[in-house]
Amino acid sequence: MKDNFIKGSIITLMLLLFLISAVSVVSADDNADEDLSVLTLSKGGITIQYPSTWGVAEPTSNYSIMAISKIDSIDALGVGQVNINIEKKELDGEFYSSVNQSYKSMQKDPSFQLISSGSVSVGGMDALEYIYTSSQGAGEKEHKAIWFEKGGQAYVIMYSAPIDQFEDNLYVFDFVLSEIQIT
Amino acid sequence: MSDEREKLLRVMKNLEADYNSGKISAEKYSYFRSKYEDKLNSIDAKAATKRIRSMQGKPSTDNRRKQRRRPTKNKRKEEQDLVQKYIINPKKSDAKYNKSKKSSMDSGTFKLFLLLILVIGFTAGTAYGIFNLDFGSVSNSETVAIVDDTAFPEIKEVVTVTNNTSKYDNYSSTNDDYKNVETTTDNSNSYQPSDSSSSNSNNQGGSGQQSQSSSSQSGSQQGSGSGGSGSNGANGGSNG
Repeated sequence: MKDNFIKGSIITLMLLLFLISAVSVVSADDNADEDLSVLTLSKGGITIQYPSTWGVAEPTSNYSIMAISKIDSIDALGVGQVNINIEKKELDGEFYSSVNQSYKSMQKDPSFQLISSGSVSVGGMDALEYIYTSSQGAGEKEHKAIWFEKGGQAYVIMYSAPIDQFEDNLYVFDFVLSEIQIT
Repeated sequence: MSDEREKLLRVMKNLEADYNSGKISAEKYSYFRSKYEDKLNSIDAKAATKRIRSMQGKPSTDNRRKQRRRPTKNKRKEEQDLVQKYIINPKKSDAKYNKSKKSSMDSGTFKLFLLLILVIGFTAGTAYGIFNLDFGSVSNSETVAIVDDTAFPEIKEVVTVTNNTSKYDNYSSTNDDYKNVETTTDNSNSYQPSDSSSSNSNNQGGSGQQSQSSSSQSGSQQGSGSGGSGSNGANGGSNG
């Protein structure tokens, strides 16, 4: 009687484990079918998630914390055309007025054209949004910059793309903003 | 029991000595030797039985002998069984001696059961980890491109006011971001920044002091009467 009970327990346990393993394998296969996976990049207290069609880039700006580029937008010289760059700079005044003043100054340069500005929220923090175009460098680019203040620093998350590709890749920037973690 | 054994061993030793010295014949020697060996085996078997009984927690045969002077047939049989089971090592197929082993779950079976659970659990856990954990989600930091976009670009600011123009190329500012400022001013000091820290949008004219400072830096603008390029908004550049 006791032996039968032990045998039954062992068989039941083995079946249960086999079922769990089988379900796990099926689940893993489903995930493998997806071409797009999400990668994570963490630097300087900021963690972002981005699709695997983008890669980590080296920013030329001294203020940059991290940057990513859309892989198929990289030109022959290795310069990314569709980029997201996160920068920070020490505030030398009140946050809102400093940022506003930057764009006021920018408007005096004909190579920059401010399209819109407004207030948004990023990671539960109030932020400022500026959309503008620039014609510096090779072609004309559109930029969407989200500014927020943290610890006496002005942070800016900026999405840049050639004008004709700006809208097509904007969803990635929205995804990055929705998943960003600032510590 | 131990004394008996010692005695027997001593007798056997003497027998061997006698045989070696030629006091007894080979036949006698082999006869007595086999006899003493049987006795010795019997003593050893009794001692083993006693030890087994004590390990099983049963009263020793000596105590029982005290109670019942004569051992029963069953007891003898039991002793024989014990000797057969633990000393002579019965065959596995011998159902008579393996009966009790099969009926209960001893520690060996339990260990095997535990080992089986551990192995299955380890295998299942490893498989679950391999197939479910997203090892590739952490990005490698290998750079794939260069990004030259920045939210702090260099700005070429052009301010047109009136008439005479003066050009400040590579104007030296404390802020590295905003260089190459071009300004257009007139001689009537109509464009004078109020102070060095204020923004351009607020500045409608420059002070004479700034004008001098700017001129001295550019080295060619003395008497232009303006310092209109003094600052650049958020960068707060000073002319010093």
